[in-house]
Amino acid sequence: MSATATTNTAIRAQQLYEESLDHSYRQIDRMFGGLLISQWIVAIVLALVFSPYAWSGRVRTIGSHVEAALFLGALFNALPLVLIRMRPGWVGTRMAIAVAQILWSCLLIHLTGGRLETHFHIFGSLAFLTFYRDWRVLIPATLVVVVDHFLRGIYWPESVYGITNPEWWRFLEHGSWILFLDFFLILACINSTKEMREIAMRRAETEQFAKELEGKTAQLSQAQRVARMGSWEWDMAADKINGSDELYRIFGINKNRTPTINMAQLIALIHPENRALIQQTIDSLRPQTNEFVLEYRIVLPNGEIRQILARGAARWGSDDKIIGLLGTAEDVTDRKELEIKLRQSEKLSAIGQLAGGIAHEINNPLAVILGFSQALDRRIPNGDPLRAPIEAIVREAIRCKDLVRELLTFSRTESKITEPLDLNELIRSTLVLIASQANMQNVVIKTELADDQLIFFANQTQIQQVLVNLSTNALDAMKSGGTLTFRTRGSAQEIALEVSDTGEGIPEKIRAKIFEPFFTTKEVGKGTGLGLSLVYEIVQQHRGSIDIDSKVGTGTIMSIKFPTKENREVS
Amino acid sequence: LKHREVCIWSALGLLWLGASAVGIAMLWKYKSTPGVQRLASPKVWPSRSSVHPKRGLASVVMLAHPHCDCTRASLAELNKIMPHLANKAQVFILFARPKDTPESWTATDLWKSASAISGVTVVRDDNGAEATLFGASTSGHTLLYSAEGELLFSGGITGARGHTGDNPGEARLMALINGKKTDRTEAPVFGCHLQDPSDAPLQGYDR
Repeated sequence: MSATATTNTAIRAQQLYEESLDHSYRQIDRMFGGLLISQWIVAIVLALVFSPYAWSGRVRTIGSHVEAALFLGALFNALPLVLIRMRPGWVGTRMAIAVAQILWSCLLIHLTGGRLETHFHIFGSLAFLTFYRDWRVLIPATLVVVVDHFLRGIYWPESVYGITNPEWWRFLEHGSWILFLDFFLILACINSTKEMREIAMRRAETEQFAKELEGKTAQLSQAQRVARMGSWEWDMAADKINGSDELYRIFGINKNRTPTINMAQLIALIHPENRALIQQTIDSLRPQTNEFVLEYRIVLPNGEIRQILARGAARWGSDDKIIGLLGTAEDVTDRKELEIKLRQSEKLSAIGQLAGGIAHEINNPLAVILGFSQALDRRIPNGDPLRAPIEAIVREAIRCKDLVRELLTFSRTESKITEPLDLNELIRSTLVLIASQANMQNVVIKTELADDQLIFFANQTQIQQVLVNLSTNALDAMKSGGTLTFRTRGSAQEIALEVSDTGEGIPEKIRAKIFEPFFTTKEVGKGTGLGLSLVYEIVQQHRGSIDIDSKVGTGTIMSIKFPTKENREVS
Repeated sequence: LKHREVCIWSALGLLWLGASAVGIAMLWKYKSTPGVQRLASPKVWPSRSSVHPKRGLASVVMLAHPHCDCTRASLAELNKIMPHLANKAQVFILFARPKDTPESWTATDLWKSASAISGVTVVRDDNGAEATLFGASTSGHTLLYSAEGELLFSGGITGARGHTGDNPGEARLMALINGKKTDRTEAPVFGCHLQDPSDAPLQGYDR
């Protein structure tokens, strides 16, 4: 603990001690209040039962004991009860109570006819006064006893000493016995307050530790939230999983509504295909291979699927049986998606380099083949049997040339200069290019463009290529008509483009492959399989993102987002 | 608390303490004030008494009011000294019944308590005749007569009204019964009046 923390703890301990003492004073004030009232009632009852009347022959009057109990008792109680009500916990209140309690001893001794047994009321009262843990209250109580004995010794010695002419120091003898008792009661008070101080110090230390723990827990919780990693511990015997806040958040559980969960509740959240894996992993644990790493999917209550990476270890009982598991669960969904994108990007890059190299090598011989075959085509008259093969060579050579051009575009790595473009304007100019094709296929083109200009920095040729490729793909998916819609919207950070069709949609199993180069579902010779790869590549080069939402039989929505911040060059 | 408030409470405390001391002093005064003895006790055993002690033994006579709660202390003290009186004195307790009161007037707890003391003869004193003869006007008045019928002691055997404990009257009685000399042969009597308050001395009783 630091010096500041130690000082704070000492200050807090003193504060707790004083609070506790004050609480104790007030509580004992109330107890004495009850005792004073009870004594008053008992005294009145005693007087009424045992000496209700004073007699003169046949005439009776109210007994002096009744009057004494009623009025003197009320007088004794008056000030202490007022103080208890108005100034509870004050030192003056305790002092008044102490005096009143000993006055009550005097009265009760009188009312019981000087019975020796009633003198024990004094000792009981002194002991009760030590409940205050304030030895000072014993001073006025003892003084009242000593003064009472002193005055009685002078004016009415028989009533206290039983003899008419006691020695002058007899009150000191009686007082010294009270002091003898006081000595031990004072020791008890001092020890008791010392214990209270120690308890206050322990409480202050506990509070300080709790505060520090709270800070560290909050720190850990924040770290877990940032890392998207929750921690958990499973007590197998109690079938209770203690999870951190982040674990609950990852699994989509409301901790307020479900403060504790069991394994069955957790398993219910795991993807059905991965549930068996959990049990297999637990079964495979051995004391020697105690730790495990496990990846599984969970299905959140809203249907979202998340990828979890769990690390853990088992706790073993004395009989080599697992008594619990503990570990972490990390939401790696975003990382997984990034990894997929990175792999795709690396794949594209490798293919691009390979294709670029091959295209370069093919381009020159192809130019020779195309050149000479076109020359032959021009010289061979119509009707010549060689004409058809030559035309076929020219046609295929042109197709090869287009393919090589696309490959070269795909693999081109040099920087392209960007300029401020209006996406809406680009769409409008692209529509002109695809309008006739759409018309032929009975496809209606709709635009839902943002009202304002959507300016972003991009390479015009590449973005137009993206728009043409997406449009071509959409039209290919709507052979028997449909609707092709372009939507745009913008914000300060990004602009978004959606190209949706009402075509046949993309089955889920091939959705992950459509951006791969040379992947096509079109007939052989109809597509190169580079269109969407090129789109993907261009979007990546512009630091944008692309997503697909497709349902078989309903259609496909291609969503692209570009940052609005200035991109002077695309890589 | 503010200094001013502490001063106010302290002043109130002193006032309260003073009032309580005065209250206790008044109680002391009441309890230590003996009853007025209006007539002197006869120097010899009154011949008209209906109580006839055996010869050869001293006699102790206590005159008591059957309803006086203070007399419990006198009976308690008598009970305490009874073992010391064995074979030395015969003890009589006479409970006064004023005129115009039913016979049940004396059927009280005090009568029962007195009857329960071993060696004591309890007698009803109709019309307070015996009290008048013995010159007693306060409940608890105790007299000691020698075996020859001479008055040795006259007074109370408690130190205060209804207050048990050692006291001068009891000490003198015990000393005299044991043949010792004492500084005084009387003591104040603490208890209720045997007569009505408006009565002239011993009015209501036949002397």
